[in-house]
Amino acid sequence: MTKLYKKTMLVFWRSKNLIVPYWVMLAIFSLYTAFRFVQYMEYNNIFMTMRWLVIPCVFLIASFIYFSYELTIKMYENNMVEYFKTYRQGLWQAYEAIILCLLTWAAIPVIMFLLFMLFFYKYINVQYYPFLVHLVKVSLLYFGLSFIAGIMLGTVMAAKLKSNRLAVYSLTVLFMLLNTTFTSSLFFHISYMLLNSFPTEKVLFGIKDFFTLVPHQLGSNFAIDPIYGLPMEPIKWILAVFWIIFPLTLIMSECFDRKAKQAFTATACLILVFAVALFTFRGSTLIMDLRNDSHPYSDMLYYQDRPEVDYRGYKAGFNINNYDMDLTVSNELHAIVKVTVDNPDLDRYEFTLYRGYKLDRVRTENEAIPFKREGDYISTGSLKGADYLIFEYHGKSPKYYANRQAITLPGYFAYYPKAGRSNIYDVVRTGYVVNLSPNESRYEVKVHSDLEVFSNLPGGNNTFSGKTNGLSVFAGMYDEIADNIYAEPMRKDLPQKQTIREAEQILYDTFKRLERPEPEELKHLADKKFFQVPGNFTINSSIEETVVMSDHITAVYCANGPQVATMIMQSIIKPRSASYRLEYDYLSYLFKQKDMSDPVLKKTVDSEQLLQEIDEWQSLNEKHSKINKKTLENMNEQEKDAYDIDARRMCDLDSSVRNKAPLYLFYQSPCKEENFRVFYDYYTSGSTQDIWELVKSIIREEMKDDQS
Amino acid sequence: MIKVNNLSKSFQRKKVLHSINLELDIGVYGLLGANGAGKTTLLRCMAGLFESQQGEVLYNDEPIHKSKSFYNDLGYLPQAFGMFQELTLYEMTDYICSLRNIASNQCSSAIARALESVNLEDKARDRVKTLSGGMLRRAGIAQAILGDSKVILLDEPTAGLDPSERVRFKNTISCLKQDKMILISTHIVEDVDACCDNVIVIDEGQILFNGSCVKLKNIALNKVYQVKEADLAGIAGEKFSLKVNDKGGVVYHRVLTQDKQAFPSEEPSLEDGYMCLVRRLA
Repeated sequence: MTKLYKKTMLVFWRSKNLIVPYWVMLAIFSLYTAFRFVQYMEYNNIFMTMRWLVIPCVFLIASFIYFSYELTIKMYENNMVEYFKTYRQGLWQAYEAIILCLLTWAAIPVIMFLLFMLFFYKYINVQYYPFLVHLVKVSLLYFGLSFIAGIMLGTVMAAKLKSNRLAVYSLTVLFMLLNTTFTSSLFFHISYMLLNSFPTEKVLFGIKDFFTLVPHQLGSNFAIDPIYGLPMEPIKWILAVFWIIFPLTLIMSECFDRKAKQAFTATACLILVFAVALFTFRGSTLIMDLRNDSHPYSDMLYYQDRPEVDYRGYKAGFNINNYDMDLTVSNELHAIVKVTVDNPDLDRYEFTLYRGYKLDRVRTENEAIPFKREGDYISTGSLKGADYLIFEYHGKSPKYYANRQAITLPGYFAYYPKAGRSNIYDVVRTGYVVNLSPNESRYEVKVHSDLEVFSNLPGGNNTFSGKTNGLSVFAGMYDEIADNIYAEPMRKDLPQKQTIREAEQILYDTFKRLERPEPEELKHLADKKFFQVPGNFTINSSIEETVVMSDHITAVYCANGPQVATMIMQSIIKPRSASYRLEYDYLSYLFKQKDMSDPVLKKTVDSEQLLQEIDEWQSLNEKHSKINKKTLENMNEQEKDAYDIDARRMCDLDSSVRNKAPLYLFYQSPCKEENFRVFYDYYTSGSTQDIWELVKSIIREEMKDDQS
Repeated sequence: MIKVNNLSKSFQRKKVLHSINLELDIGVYGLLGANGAGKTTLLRCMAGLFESQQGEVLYNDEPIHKSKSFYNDLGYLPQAFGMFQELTLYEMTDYICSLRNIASNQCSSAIARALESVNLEDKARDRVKTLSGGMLRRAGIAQAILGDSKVILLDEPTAGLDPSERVRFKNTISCLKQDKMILISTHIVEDVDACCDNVIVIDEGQILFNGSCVKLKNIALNKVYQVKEADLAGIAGEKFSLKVNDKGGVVYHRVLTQDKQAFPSEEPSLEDGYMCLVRRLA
């Protein structure tokens, strides 16, 4: 074998169509890596650098398809196969030598990348061992196994398609396209523009995923969650191994005759079936692309299409006293949750559990309880004498993943049954609704996972118990970075105790200024556990930037005290979508987050003119809301011109009113402190009054006072 | 040594070999047949490259795919032969030694012997891509005889060889033939005449003749006539004009016919015997 290997290496070395492109590829890859490292030194962003470093992966795999195909095809084009087959295992020995030779050439960039990763780890000096393991795994999976898969694909194409280069390179280009966002866009358009079919999308994206051997698709702009890193769920490893073994069995079927050929062909079919089956049950993965099932779009689209439900005035009629939870996180979440209720005599119980979790059964200790599942809601009949229910379910959420790589299950998300019916996603405010129990429940939690799990409840070894109004569970590249502060250690904007204390003080001062009692949950903020959640939480949600629970806080950002205080205040007020901008400005002025050197803020607002503008703007708004498409089509030229003039005016007024109103109310008005209070009451009361009517009434009052 | 029992082979609906029966022992055999007669298919079946639909090929009374020694003893030269262009002839032959599981310490001498047999020892250090078509063909023969093969199957070994190379090929075969079974598939009768002791004639997938060259010649005994073109019409019975040649401005036809003619017949050649067979004049 050594001799065959050496000779095959010689063939590669002496083939200009192989060795020249190989060195060129290696040189480009090295220069690119160096360039990205320089970029890192400039921007100091680890995961952006990681993302850019793995982008060329698809080109490298395609290069290895080319090298392996062009090396193997020499055997066929030089008519060597026929006589090789007359030697005992002759053709297989030749293939072995070719594969070994290609593995040697592939090892060079793999080792280079691995060494660079080790150097990179040393250079960034984070001292976080799981990240080092992650880097090594990235090198092995995406630069090791993926290259080997490329080698196998090229070799098998030579064995099966022979000299049909058009077919081989067309398939290679197709493979590359399947590893880019081009096909995401194409499949999305085919599914919805042409066929308007969700199953078509599922099938097309399933095929795409099955061929995806890269960590980050070319063209994708989604940022990497540091808690998750690059995707390396078991299914990714299985797929890479599949793309090595499946072609290998096909190659072997080409090398042997008679029964062995049939056996290898049968083995290849079995492996294919097995891989497809495993792939079908891959469970929770982090998908960030255009498809309906992906993190950014899935829930947003689902809840947009779902008929709107009014939850106002709804009461569950019971509280949950105890949760006894047994969570197994494998490819997805498998849960057995026992809930003990405080009112066991009801005829009917309603629970909220996110629709992605399939309920296997509901029971008491020995008896099944009939249930009805409608989307996120579960209805059961009476408890038949018991005061508890046991829910058994499994499943996943596209956003709040739970798999062998990472877990992000915040306490405000219904990944376990919550009492009553509540909304999961607010379409109007585009964000996940914070669902917290009105009371604190007692939790006994055991999480079966290979990962070290962090929770808001006290405990260790993935077992937790205590009282809270929402159980949060996090794992992955996640750690306790300071006392009671948990975060992704690889992030730059890590939270600090001092920042939280500062925010606590700012909030205390603000409530004092507002002359309003500080809500209980905001007191002693610094004593609560603080969990920094991934930045991608905000991709499809504007609500959960900061959530304060009875014993812990989850927050996306924690740069400085005023920012944290602002976000916490934002989390407790109840804004309406129409006033989002006003709410934002209100908080900015309240927490002095506005840049007061901005010349726009220096212009004095004429309150009378502002009132007129609001009136005109509202009148135009009302007028335009009555004009539908048909009315517009029936207008004559003169009416259309008048309509256009009105539209432009409305646009100008919209901008002007939205800028001037908060500037006047919260900065220039002599009664600004009173205005802060009025708006705080408005936002926290759940009042249904139109906010612009409130604005007008305040300005009118002030004008009256001025006149008097 | 090699026995072919009732071997049939079809490609889809086309039957290429019809119940072939052969018994080949030590010696040089010529497998003679027109293009498309089934020579290559028969050779590939005998080399174990094709599976037959019916019948079997035995080596020392054992089916070849079960035989432990067959693939070690087999030397096969395919119709289309090539080598890695990037290697030297020596490197490539060494590569083949490894594939044939020839012990490393015996490789050098085996390579030297094989290349010497085909008179390519001076080309050993040349890259394969610099060899001419004829040299490559000889390299193919060297490949087939490497490691003292006992069963040598050569498919069109003389294709592309110039006259002197053909002579050398004949000599090579003469030197090799001790203790070996050599089967040379060809459509060139002269090659068989020059190299082979026995000849097998195959036509449309059927064996028409299996015997010595003399026997094949004798099939045409008293059936070959040399006649002037002007006298051609005077030949009695069914006839077949084999060759036309010009002697001193007079055109002569070499004619095969079953009917006894009034003038003396010619001494038959192997080609005459072969043509008698395929023209069903035997």
